[in-house]
Formats: sequence, C-alpha cells, structure tokens
Amino acid sequence: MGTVTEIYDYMRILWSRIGQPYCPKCKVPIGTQSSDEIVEKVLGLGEGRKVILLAPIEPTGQESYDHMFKREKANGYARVRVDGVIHSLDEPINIDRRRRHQVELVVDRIVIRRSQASRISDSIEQALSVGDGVMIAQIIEKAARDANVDAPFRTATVRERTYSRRTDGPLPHGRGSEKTGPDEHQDVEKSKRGSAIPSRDRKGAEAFAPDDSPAARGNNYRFSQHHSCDTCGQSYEELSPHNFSFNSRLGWCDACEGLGIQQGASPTAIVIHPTRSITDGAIAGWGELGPGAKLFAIASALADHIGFDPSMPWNGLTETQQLAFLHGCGDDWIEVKGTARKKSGTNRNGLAGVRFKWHGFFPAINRATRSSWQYRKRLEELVTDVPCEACTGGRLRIDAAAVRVSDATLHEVCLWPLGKTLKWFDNLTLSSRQRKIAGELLKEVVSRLRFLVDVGVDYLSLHRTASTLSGGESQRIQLASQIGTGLTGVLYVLDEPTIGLHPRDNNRLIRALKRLRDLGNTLMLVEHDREVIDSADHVLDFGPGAGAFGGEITAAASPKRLRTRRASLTGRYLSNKQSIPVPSNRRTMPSASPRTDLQVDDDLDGVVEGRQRESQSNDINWLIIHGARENNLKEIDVALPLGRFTCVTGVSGSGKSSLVSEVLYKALAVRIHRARLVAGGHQRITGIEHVDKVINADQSPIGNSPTSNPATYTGVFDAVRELFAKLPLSKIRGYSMNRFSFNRPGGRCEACLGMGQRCIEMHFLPDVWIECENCKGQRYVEETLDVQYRDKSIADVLDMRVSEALELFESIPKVRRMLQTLDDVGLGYLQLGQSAPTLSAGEAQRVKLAAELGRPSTGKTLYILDEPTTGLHFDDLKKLLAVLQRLVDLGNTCICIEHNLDVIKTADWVIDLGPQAGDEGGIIVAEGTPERIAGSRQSQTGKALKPVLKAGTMEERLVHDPRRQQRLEKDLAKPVDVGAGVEMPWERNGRAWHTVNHLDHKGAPVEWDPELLLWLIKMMESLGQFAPTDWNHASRIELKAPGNKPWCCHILTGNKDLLHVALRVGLGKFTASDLRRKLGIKDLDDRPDLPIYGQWSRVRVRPMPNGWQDIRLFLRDFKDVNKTTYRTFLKAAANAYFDQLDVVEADPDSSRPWKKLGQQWHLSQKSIHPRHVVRWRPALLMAMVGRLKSIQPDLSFSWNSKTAGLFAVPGEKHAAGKIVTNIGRALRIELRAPSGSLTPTQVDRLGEDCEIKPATGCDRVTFWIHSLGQCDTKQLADAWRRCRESSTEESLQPA
Amino acid sequence: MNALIPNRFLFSFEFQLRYRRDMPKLDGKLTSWTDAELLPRLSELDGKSDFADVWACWNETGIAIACRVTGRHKPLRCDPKKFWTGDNLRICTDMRDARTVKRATRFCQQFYFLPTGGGPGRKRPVAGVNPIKRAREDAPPIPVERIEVASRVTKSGYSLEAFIPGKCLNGFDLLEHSRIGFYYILEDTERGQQYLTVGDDLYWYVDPSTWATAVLDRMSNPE
Repeated sequence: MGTVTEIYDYMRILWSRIGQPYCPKCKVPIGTQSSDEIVEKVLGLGEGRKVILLAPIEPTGQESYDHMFKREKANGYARVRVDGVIHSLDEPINIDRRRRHQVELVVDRIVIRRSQASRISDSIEQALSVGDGVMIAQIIEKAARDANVDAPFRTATVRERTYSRRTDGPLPHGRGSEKTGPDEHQDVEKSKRGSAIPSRDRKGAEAFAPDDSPAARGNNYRFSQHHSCDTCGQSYEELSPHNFSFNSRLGWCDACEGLGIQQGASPTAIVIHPTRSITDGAIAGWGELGPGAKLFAIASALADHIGFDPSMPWNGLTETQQLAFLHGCGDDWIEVKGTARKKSGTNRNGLAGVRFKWHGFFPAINRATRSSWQYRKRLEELVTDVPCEACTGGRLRIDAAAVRVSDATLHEVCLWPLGKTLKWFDNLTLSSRQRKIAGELLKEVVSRLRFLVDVGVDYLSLHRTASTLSGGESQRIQLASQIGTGLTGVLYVLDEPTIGLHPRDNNRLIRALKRLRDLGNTLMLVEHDREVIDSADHVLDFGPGAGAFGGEITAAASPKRLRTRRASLTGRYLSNKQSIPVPSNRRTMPSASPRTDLQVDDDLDGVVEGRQRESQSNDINWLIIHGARENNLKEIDVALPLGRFTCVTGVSGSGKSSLVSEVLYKALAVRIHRARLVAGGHQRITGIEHVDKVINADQSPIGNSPTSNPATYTGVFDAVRELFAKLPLSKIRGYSMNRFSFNRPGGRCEACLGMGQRCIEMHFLPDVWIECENCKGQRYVEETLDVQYRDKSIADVLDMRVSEALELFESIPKVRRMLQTLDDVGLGYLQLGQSAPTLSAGEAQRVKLAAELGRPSTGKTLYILDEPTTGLHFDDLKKLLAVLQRLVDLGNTCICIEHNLDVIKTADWVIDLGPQAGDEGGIIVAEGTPERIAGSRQSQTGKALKPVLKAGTMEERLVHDPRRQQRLEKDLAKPVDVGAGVEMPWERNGRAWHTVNHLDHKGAPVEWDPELLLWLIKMMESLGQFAPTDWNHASRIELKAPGNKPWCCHILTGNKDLLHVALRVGLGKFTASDLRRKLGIKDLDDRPDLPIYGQWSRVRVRPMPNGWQDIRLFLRDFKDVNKTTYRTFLKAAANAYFDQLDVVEADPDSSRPWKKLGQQWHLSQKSIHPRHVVRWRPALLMAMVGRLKSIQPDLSFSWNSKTAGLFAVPGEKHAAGKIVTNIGRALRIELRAPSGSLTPTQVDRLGEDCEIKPATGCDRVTFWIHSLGQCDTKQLADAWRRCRESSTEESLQPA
Repeated sequence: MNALIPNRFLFSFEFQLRYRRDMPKLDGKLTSWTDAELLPRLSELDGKSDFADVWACWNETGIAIACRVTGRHKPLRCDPKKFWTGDNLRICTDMRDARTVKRATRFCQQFYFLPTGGGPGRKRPVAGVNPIKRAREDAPPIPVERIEVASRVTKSGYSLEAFIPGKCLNGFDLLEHSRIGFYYILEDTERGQQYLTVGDDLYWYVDPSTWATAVLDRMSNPE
C-alpha cells in the first residue's frame, strides 16, 4: 500500500536523508569520525592517563606473519600486540601460523594532556594512516606497573617517537584491516580471553575503565574514520534512497528479494497456546512439562541461553526471543544445568555432560521436510507464507532496515495502522537542519495519510499488500495518491468505492470526495449505496431492467428529484415507495447466546416485543468458537446459532474476516472435509457434530482462464451439452457431449481453440484480441453448430443471458434449476459464456453461491459469505436475501460478513465486532437480534442500524416450503424427453443403417467392408437356433438364443477402421494361440494396404465370470477371412455357446461357489484379485461380525453375494449395510444411514478413510479396517443407534 | 496436538564418552561397566521410554560398547545374513565431527552386533560392518575379525559387549580429532527400536548429520 499511495517512496527518501544509521547487530548508532574528532575523543579519555596507540594490521596477500613482523620492524616499529599480548619485534613471536590472529602495531605511547594536543594529534594521524582509518587506544595506566609490560614498553616508546619524528613522507604501513571483522574480533575475545585484554591485565583494565560506552572494550577504545560500528567494527556503506527500496536490487533483502515472506511452517501450528509458557503447553508436542522432565530441563536451559524466563507466556517474549526460539541459536552449545558429569559420576538420569545446539522449529521442520518424504507429506499442509527469516518481513537489506528516524525504523512505521502513523508524523520532532531537508517530504506524506484516514482506511497499514485489498479499499487508496497531485479539471471514474466500508465511515468518504470535487475535478461514481447516492449532485439511473431489458437512462436528476420519478427503480427505493422490509416473523432466538450475558441498553420500542418472542426460544444448536485469537482477535468466545441467518458486523479491520474465514471456515473444513488448510488460532470449536458440510463463497475469481465461465463453473453447461448430445442429429452423427465442449478438440474451432477470439501479439504494444475468422466468434465448427435445440446452437446458448436461457430451457428441469438459481441470486443479466476473468468479485461470489445452491441441500450445511451484496442494486439484494432465507428455512445455517444495513436488519442474529479497527478491535461489542444491536450504545453498527430499523417497514416473510416449491415446479413446465418421439434411422431400418453409408461414432464414414458384416451375420444365423438378429442399435448388432438368455455374438460397428466381433462361448473351448494360428489374421503392420498400423493381436481370448469365455476378433475385410476356416470356427463357437447355456440352465450355481459356500467363501478370500496384497486376516471378518452383533444381537447376515456380506435388521425394508470382502487393502464396511442422520465428525473414528456419501434415498457411510483396533466401538454403537432411530422415524412417516 | 517432528530432531546433542585406561573385560556379563559409562537417555524427549541400558567408553586402543536388554518373553531372532530383520545393536561412527554433512564420508562406518546367530550352533554373537547407503565415499575395508564381541542370552533378554579397535575405525586419531560423530540404534523384535537421536523416518542410516557428537577428551573425564 505504501508504494501504491507513493507514501513509501517519500518515506524512503526521508529515512535515507535524515535517518540515523544503526548497527543491525549491536543496535547502536553508527557514524563517521574525522581525525580531529578522534583526537578530541582521545583527549577526553582523561587528563594524565597513559595510553598506547595501536594500529590494526594484517598480512597482505600470501604474506606470512613472520614476514609481516620483519617488514614492520624494518619500517622502524618495535612492538606489536598479538591477540592482546604485546610482543617485541626483536624476538621471535611464537604464534600458530595456521590460525588467524588479531595483530595491532604499537604506534605510540602517550600521556593525555591538553598541552600535548599537537603531539597526540600527530601520533593519532600516524596510527590512522597505518591502520587504514582505524586505530585503537589502550589505557595502560595501571597495567604499566606490571613489570612484564612496563619495562620493555618504556624503551619502545622512545623508539616509536624517534621513528615518528624521523619520517616526513608517507608512513609505511602494513595494510590495516578496514573490515576488522566483528565475528573474528568477538570470537577472539570470547574464545581466547573473554575480553580484549590479556588476562593478567584485566583487573587493572577494569579498574581504569572510564565509562561503559560501547566503544570501550575493557580499556580498549576503537576509533574509525569509516562508516562503521564502534562496537563490533563492522563497516557500512553510505545509504541512498535506492537502498530503502524493496523493489530494487540495491535495497531488497537478498534472502527474499524484497517479498518479505518465505515458504515455511505456520507459527500457529507450532505455538498452539500463545498465552502459555513454553513449559506449560504453548508448544505443539511439548505439552505441560513437569520439573522432573528432561524436556523441561532442556527447555529451561534454552530459555536461559536466549534470555527469558521459561515460565513467561509466549506472548510476553520479545520479538528477538521469539525469533531465537523459532529460528534457532546458531552454533551455540548450550549446557543443561545441574547435569555436569562429575568424576566417576553416574549417568542414570541420562543427561550428564550433555550439551545441545538448538536448531529452532523453522529450520528443523524445513530440514525434516527436505530429507524425509514422510514429513514432507505430513507437514505440507502446514506450509504457508511466513515472514522472511533474514529480514523478519521488513523486505529491506539489514543496514537500511536498521536506520531510524525518531527511534522508529521504516518497517516499524509501515506496520502501524495508518491512524497511528499519521499521529506519529504529526508529532515528529526534528532539528532545524532535518526540518529543512524533510519539509516537503513530510508535507506529501502527511497529506496522503490524512486523506487515507479520512476515507476510512485508517485500520490498514502501509505494509499491506495491494492484492489483499478489497475493490473499495483499493479505489480509496488510489484516490489518496491523487490527492497529493493537486490536479484540477480531472475526471475521476470510480466503481463502488464504498465496498468494504462500514456505514460509520461513509460520511468521511463522502467528505473526501467532495473535497476532490471542490478542487475543480469531476467525479463519476457507479454506486448502490444509499448515502452516497443521496450526497451526489446529479444521479443517472440506468434501467429499467438488467441485461437486454436495460441500457436506458430512466432518470437523470438530483437525488431529491429522483425520488419523484416513477420510472426510476432507484428513486422508488430512495423514497421508500419500494423497500426491503424488516421481517416481522423473524426466527425465534434466545435472549442471550450460551457464550455470555451481554449488558446492552435497550431503548427501542421493538425490543420489548422482540424479547417477548425471544422468551419462546426453542432449543437451537450453537456452534461455539472458544478462544479465537487470529490476528487481532482477543481470545474471544463466539457462539453462532445453527439453522439461523447470522450477520457478523463491525467496522473495517475489526476482525470479522479473521473470525469467520480464517478461524471458523478453515477449522470446519479441516474437521469435516479433511481440507489441507491451517485454521487460524483458536482453542476449540464445539457443536461441529450438527454440521455436515461447510461452504465458503468468497470473492476470489472463479477462474483465471478465459475458457472458464459461469456456465462451466456452475455445471449447467454439462447439462446443456448432455442435452445437445441427445438430440437426434447428434445421435445420427454419433456426437457425444464431448463434441459440444469448447475446451477439447472435436467439435470446437481449432483455429482459436474454442475461444472465439485470437490473440495477436503486438510485441511492444499490448496484445490485441480479434474475432476468429474461421468460426466468426462462434467457437465451434459448422458441423457442431448444425445441431440445434429450439433453433439455438450451442454457441447461441453461450451467448445468451441467464434470463434468456431460462426461457429456452424451461422444460429441461436439470438445466432450468441451475439457471433459476443464477437468476435468483441476481445474475439474470449475466451472459452464460462470459469469461471468468471479466466477472467482478461480487459476481464471481454470487456465481459460486449459485453453484452451491444448485447442489442438493443436506439441511445441515453451513454457508459462509463475505459481503455477498457487493455490486447489487436494492432490487437484486431483495432477491439474494430471499435465496439466503430459503436456505435457512431448509435447516441450513448462513453466516454473512456484511456492512449493508438492509441485510443486517433482516438477519436473525447479529454479532458485532469492534469497537474499533486493528489492535483496538477483536472483541464482541454486541450480539443478538438486530433490534438488540441497534439498542447497544457501544456498537458502531448499532448506531447506524437504529435509524434504518426505525424507518424500515415491517412485513411478514414468506417461509419457504420445499414441497410447495416442488408442486410449483411441476406445474411450471412438464419435463421433455428430448428426441423421444423421433424414430432413429437404425430403428427404422437397422440393416441399411449398418451396411449402407454407415457412420462411425465420430460421424465419419466407416472403412471396413459391409459385405463382410453381412456374410458374418448370414453365417451365424445359419448355425443355430438364434433369435432374430437385433439390428436396432446405433453401433451394435446382437445375436442370442431366444428368450431371456445371454447374448452369443455382438458385432460392434462404431469403429471407423475395423469391425469388432465379440463371441461368448463356454470356458476353455478355445485357446488364444490355437485360434490365432487357425484363423491366421495378420497383424495390421503386415497389411501394407491399410492406412492403420499396429502389432497387437487381432484375436483375443479371455475368461469371463460365470463359466463363460470371451473371444474378440478385429476384422477389416475378406482379406482377413478365410471363409472355410471361419465357417468351421463360427460353427464350433455357436455350439460351445449353446452347450454352455445348457450347463448354466442345469445348475445355475455351478459357476457361483459363493452361493454354495456362503460365509466360507468370504473367509477363503478367494474373491480378492490374485495380484492384490491381502492385508486383513479372515479372523477380522468374524470379529467384525461379532462386534456388529454385540451392538444389534438380532442382526441377520446374508453371504450370498460374491464380494460382500449383507446385514439387515429384522423389520427394516433395506439392508443396514455390508462388509465388502474382495479388496485386499482392508475390509470395507458400508452402513446405510438415513439422509442427514450422521455428520462427518460422528463417524471419523470408525476406521480409515471414513466418509459419508449421498446415495439414492439415504446416505452411505463407508470406512476401512485392517485390524479391529481401528474401529471405535463406542462411536460405532452411537452411529448405529442414530441410524436406527432415524430409520424408525422414516418408517413412521407416511409415504 | 502431537509434535510436528520428533523433539530430538530439534537439537544436536553432544556428550562425553567415558575414558577407561583398561577396557572392560568382554565376557557378556557386563560386570566391569559402571553407570558412568551409560550413554545419554534421550528417548523421553519424544515421550518414549528406554527398554535397554547402553554403555560406551574409549581409550587409545579403540571404542567399546555394551547393552543389556531385559523383560523379553519371546526367543531372540538373529539372522546374520539379514541382520536388520532381527534383534541387533547397530552403531554409527564418524571419526570427523562434521555434523553438517548429510552424506557419509570415508570416515563414517556402521557396525552391527547380534547376540546370537554366529558360529556352528548359531549361538555365538556376531559382529560386522554394513556399508552406509548413499555414501559420498565408502570407508575402506576393515579387518572385521578384529572386532571383539561377547554376549550372554538369558530367558528374559540378553547382554552384549563389543570392542572396536582403533584400526577398524577409519580416521581414528584422538590427538587431532577428539570429537566424533556417534549414533546407536537397538532393534528389538518385541519392543521396537531404541535410538540415540532420530529413527528410521529421518534416515539416520544415510544422513550423518542426524547423529550426535561424542567428545573423546581424556582430560575432561580422567578415570
């Protein structure tokens, strides 16, 4: 948002120009010093103090330390300090050549006196020259008493000074390290000495340390002429505004390249209880750790190392501490306290002498998923966008991110809500120099911020990404970038800028818009909001209807006059001649939710009446979210009534979407649908067992591809294609429904790939879409368009609006139902083939809603809608509300996040979050019926709702009756069986259809020889007592014995190249190899005269169940057929067919051993395919039978089926379920449950992969077990009881 | 909610391996082992309990290891040809403390020990070396016969002792490399696995970075 409004661009200039750089590691200010400043600081160390001036040096290139020491000796220096110990260069220095050392050249020893300033300055300049801009001053006053140091030192002093005076030219030096690496420096200190001075000098050094300034390391003071940290010595470059831009390579964080996020495990999955401590259950899998637990000891040691109290709640830790815990402590070894191994000590506790490194959760999870497939699979649902590890979401390089203006970094300011940011800028105190630099910048920033706050987006932050903003927010923010330009004479066109705006903030937006107008600009708004329309200077009302019925200006007047225009629908609503009524028969609700008793001030008359009604509260079920804490939610408990229409309201940013979309929807989707989502932070949700489906109709697009459209998304296009495939012409040509798809080859235009338009790339200009010249925008080839339903081709259907299509398909219930739903949600004007990317967010949401409404309702579905009224006129809103109320009348629950007061006033229950946005929100301000909310003084929504309720007309709502609806639908139009009365050519004259100009199943003429077909039929007919040949099928000719007998021969004629002959004979009568040899049909590759090729055998023989054998021949013409051989073969086949018929008739069960063996057959596991691995034992089947009988002792089993044992309860019409035994993986148990009697959470512990699927007239519960322990007996008994209870109710109901 | 990953995988562990001037006598009785030589018991971090005691110690001649398993009800199953299918003790050593290397180097070795299954009557203990899978470089062949192993099987379990001479440990150089990679896993056909750091699911058998660090510092734990 910062970049869109350009505020960030001004801020980065501000930070680079007046910001104070800080060392990112040491968190201390950094800056450059001139040599004069250094001299002044050294003089300030204390009058009379003795100081050694040192210059850090390093070997150059491949130079050895010995060589460097010799070189410096030759340059006239006498001493060096190596790792804090001073050595004489006259003697060999014994150091490890393979390691790096901290080497400083002793340049001079001075006594600090103001009178000697000139000499001191001289020495300091020399030290800085040798040290390449860096020098160290070591106070040695007390250490000098140490004879070891003092004696040689005094002599050295003279030599150094002597040398100094002797040299006039440039001073020789070994290249001092500008980058005195902080790590090296600190490592040396830590590992070798623990301080920068030798241990023997430490005592004295401490005694003389003048202050605790960060520059001091014991008695060492580091001075640098570079832009570097005085504490760690790290150098930094001068920062320019580019270095503060996360969109530039110069400024972005190298790890995330300015995105601020990376893929990683969700922190909420790791820290499951942020209000607890790490030893008290905050961390997933750690639980509550007792003091005796080893993990407690380790966690405590870790906490000590990081620097926090292990009993402190997670929320109380600083960001740095949390980061160390989540991201690890690097290579630090941490010792567990009190477990050090003593001499010959026991290790019975198992932790003696153990040290550990803490990897941290994020790196460890990352490592586990990289190295193990199991964990990759298991944890993939936890992977989400998390703040970048390197920049912690700040997006900037570390040095730029550490720059502070008035103690705030750029990222910190960007994270604040805009209201707070504005206050901060208003109160910013700057020096006169800074004010001079920042003057214009601050003016720009503040004016934009003020506008944003004025238009009601003060809850947003500059860090918020533009893609997550709603349409209204986005427009209001774009306006903010315009306000600063101060342009006049501009025409601003805005499309519903009030989207996502709470009614409280409407006036602020209107004021801001008027300010723009007053500057001399013109504003044209497309708007449905009553207040905005009222405040307009001039209104153009379009209509009178939608789509084809619209397109005219029905009124053009001021809002006041608009109310008087009869032709204006909007005017009628504004004048309340037409309105959305407040339902007088609101569903009954209790006076308070089970969550809490709220104290509200009732000052509405209607409330009394409402309370009287409420007193009749029935026993409704509640869905209760406990401890919701996602984003700004303050661990709140929220109770949502089921079977009611609930609105969640509150000012923008108060936590509505966090509660409903992040917590409620995701948690339910995970529990009910096993969705791979991570629910927002909460403790638990109770009452889920009363919900069996959750549907979230959000405002995300229904698709990104132009081939996706409302017709395809809702599934209505499938039904239309099915209809077109049933039309006579389609049947004659063999068109299946695939032919009418524009997404696959066959019937579509291949030039434009079914899009109707072609994209012309213009290289340096935007792509241009032009109508396809082949299909003229019709998407299909001419042959496909020939097929027409009531004079409309499939392309015409796609061009139709929903309302037109509704008329066209009124007699096709399957199509009409979905179209009606689209029309009901106010999308009657929408073109069926309109590509998905061109739909607005509100339209996309309503298409989703319609798609869900078109599916069978279970009566226990929870619908979640996020501002479904976006882009809806009052009249369409009325329609939508009717649909939502209809859903609730059917027993479903509807939860709406909404700002629209017309919707809120019709709800059964309202939950108002707030009181303000961001950190000041996240609690429930009021809950109850709309009247109760209107009476709440704390509720912002209530204040806005009160006048609307008072002005609204009360009207009884027509309660939806599904049976009445069915009757109405029946009366509406009789369903038509398309093509039923048409006699198809194969029904008229089958022989001619199959033999003269026959078409294959794609509509192309066949190439096999029709004479061969006639010859084969003639031969077969002459070989036995067959019934008359059945020619009356489009692609199949059948021969069979008279009566209800299995067929003997099928000749399939739908293939273009080969005739497909299928014969049934007794098992074992023919072998494939023998038959191939005898018939001598060549491979296709051996027939060069054919346009097709292949090496597969054209004779196939395979066994069939029930003692039959299946023979398949693929023939082209008489070249494949030796008539004599075939005659013999066909005769043998016909005889074998009749012989097998005799066998089957004599003993029908001969080929069905399961009929004879019963349960033994299932225990033998013979029905399992030989290639399947069998993972269950026969004893499991017996045990499962026993378990079912223990629940229902009079249960009867039938084992006559080949693949399953059926069980039934005496007196019930249908079998209660079955145990499927022919699958090796596990036993599959299916239970028949009356529709809606069970919800997913009531069967989730029955076994593996439990699911409830709707079946004809009931639900089917399926689960798998390969051991009895997988099945929760208690839950099975409960589920069984529910099924029986519902079955009894069902049987009691009249048919 | 269960742990997302094993808690032991969140840490790298380091412990001191006990120095013994005289190596324990290998007779299968475990009489010369003391509690001081017990290896860290870390299973509790993952909510598991150890079913066996495991000891280890070292001196300049090599590394010794021992275990005692009790409370068994069924007979042992040991097949030297498929040692991984039965009861066995396996240890992994890396003579260089490179705990960030994810594939075995030539200094990494895996040894296995079976309490029975060897000798004429299949009653004697077995010791062997198993190549580490997916190793970047295999360790050179070693004289396996030099590994000493002794066991004693009882009705309720068994005890096992083994000594791996320094010559069988590629790169055994205590002066230069006193920190080594170390891992053990005890597989029991009745009670599953007991291991030092991570189990099969995190590929201890291919990834030396999952092993712990053992410090072979004579000065820090003089006998």
